[in-house]
Amino acid sequence: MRQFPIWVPADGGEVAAVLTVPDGEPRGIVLTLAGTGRHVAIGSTMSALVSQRAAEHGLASVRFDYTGVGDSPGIVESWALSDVGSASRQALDVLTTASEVLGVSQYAVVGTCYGSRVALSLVGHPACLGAVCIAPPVLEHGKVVNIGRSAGHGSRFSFVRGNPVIRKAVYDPLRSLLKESKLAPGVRCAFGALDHAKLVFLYSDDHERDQLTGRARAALEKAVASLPEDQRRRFALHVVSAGALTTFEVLPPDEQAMILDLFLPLVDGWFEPSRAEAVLQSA
Amino acid sequence: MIVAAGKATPGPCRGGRISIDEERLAQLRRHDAPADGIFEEFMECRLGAGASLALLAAPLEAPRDEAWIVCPSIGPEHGNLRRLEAMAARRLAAEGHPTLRIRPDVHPHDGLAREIDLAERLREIEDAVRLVTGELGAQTVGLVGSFFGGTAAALACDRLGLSALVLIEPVPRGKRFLKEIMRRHAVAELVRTAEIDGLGGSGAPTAGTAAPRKELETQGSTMLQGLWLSQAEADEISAVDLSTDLRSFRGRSLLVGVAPNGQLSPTLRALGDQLEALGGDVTTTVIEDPLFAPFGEYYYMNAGPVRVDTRLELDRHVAEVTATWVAGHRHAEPLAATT
Repeated sequence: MRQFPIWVPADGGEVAAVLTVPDGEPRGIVLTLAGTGRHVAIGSTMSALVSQRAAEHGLASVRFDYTGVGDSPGIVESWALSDVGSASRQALDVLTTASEVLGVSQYAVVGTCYGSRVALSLVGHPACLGAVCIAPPVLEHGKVVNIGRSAGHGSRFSFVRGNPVIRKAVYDPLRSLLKESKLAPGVRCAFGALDHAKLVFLYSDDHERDQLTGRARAALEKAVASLPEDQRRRFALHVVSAGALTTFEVLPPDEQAMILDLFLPLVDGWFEPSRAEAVLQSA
Repeated sequence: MIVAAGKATPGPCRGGRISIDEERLAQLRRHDAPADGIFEEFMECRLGAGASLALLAAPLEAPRDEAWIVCPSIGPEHGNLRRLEAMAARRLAAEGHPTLRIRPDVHPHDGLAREIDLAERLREIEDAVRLVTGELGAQTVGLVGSFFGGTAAALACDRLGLSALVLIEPVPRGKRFLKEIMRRHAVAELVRTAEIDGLGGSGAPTAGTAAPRKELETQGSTMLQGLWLSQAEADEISAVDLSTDLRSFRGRSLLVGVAPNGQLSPTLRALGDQLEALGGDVTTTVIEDPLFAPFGEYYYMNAGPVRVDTRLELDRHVAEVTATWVAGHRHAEPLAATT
């Protein structure tokens, strides 16, 4: 494989990206999208690992640092987790550039956590064959969760949450009552793309950290059940026995490899075989 | 070892069936930021045995004779320091200094290195010094590093006879560095387990909660937040102590501390005294910052549906302090041999 570290004009700025190209003719492009975690390489550890493995499947890949992250210039003071507008535009610009330099238009997307929200925003494009979403949040945050997330240490709310008795008597029932159970708009919108694209949602059995709660799973299953048969077949939910996938970067290498082994063959199957493979198959 | 990789040839590559627009890829190696008066460019050569990326930030106008190299920290904390390194490099470039940052990445053949490896980081610094003095024609070279990247930078400055050094919240003793990254790993694991408990999960300890030091002893290696540490490497790092390892560095240095109370730490004070005793010109400064998370740790804070960057102002401040100090100390000194 060959790697091309590049700067891509994206959403009015420039982002640092690495385009990885297999030795032979690339059959398509895999765009990888990171969460907002600690990333030791451009893109993320997951993105870097996917770039190696995608090349073995004859696929090009491109990874990048979002504006204001890692090596990409720009200032982002805060991330609204449900607003993927800018990240989505950056991703599309990166994809467009990769597509132009490689002369390949079809692509798949792999995203973790926040990156999976961005991935969902890209599946509607006709050239997108599918998306693998690693630990995507499927429900909108409810009011209690938002208060909880914003409450600092030492606050009354944090006291309530931290006290086992009060928590059980007050917080948990309230949280349960006021929790959202609607699918996030990004997920609903992405389901509309199942007329042409595949969607794979991947979680670990650490359901709380990966946010696949019983309520989330029920909402997801209900939405999938309402789809026409052909679209339902394009959706897959996988739960693997591993540490939380939201912490992919720090999972043991064997678990990381197991996760890649699960979804990369799926992604591989979304693309047309190379000319050489096609000739072999026809023979 | 400096490795040429991904070298672009003019025009679309039409060999075989692959049609890649390599001319455009060559152009995309660089971007200009006229508002800042700088450009950034991924150099064609790569550094060290792991083929780390060499990323140059340099002025659009004629560069000064002194180049700087930003040395990455060696542990998992590096991921949280990349933005600071990038900001410092851009500010130094805006002051006219070509500044190279070392970016460990995927080796074209061996893949992504997942080991903590001080010797490899030092090799990359040597390669980077050769690159800036050779290809870029720098007359003098300074090194910048934060956390244990600062320690690596100090060791390299001493060994290579370089002229200037900026250490940002350095950890002068390898033993302390190991203790700190193991402590941070243990805290992260504890938080993870506590969250599982608190949220109604099983709370069963995972493999990662085993004490890393015990794993090192019994298994010869351990994984700290996604990176392997071998017993041999732990021994190597433990042996580092700048109070005895720095013997000949007489250049100018800036020591930047970061503390919630704004006080200079005894460690930094002792390091400054030592550098002065060697004959160096030392400046120390402390930036007061509440440090939502320890320096080098994950710095985003959840605030409702928003994730807030708590490190932005500090990173800007550190970059500014560094660039201002470099600008105030411009003088050319001959470069010592780097082989």
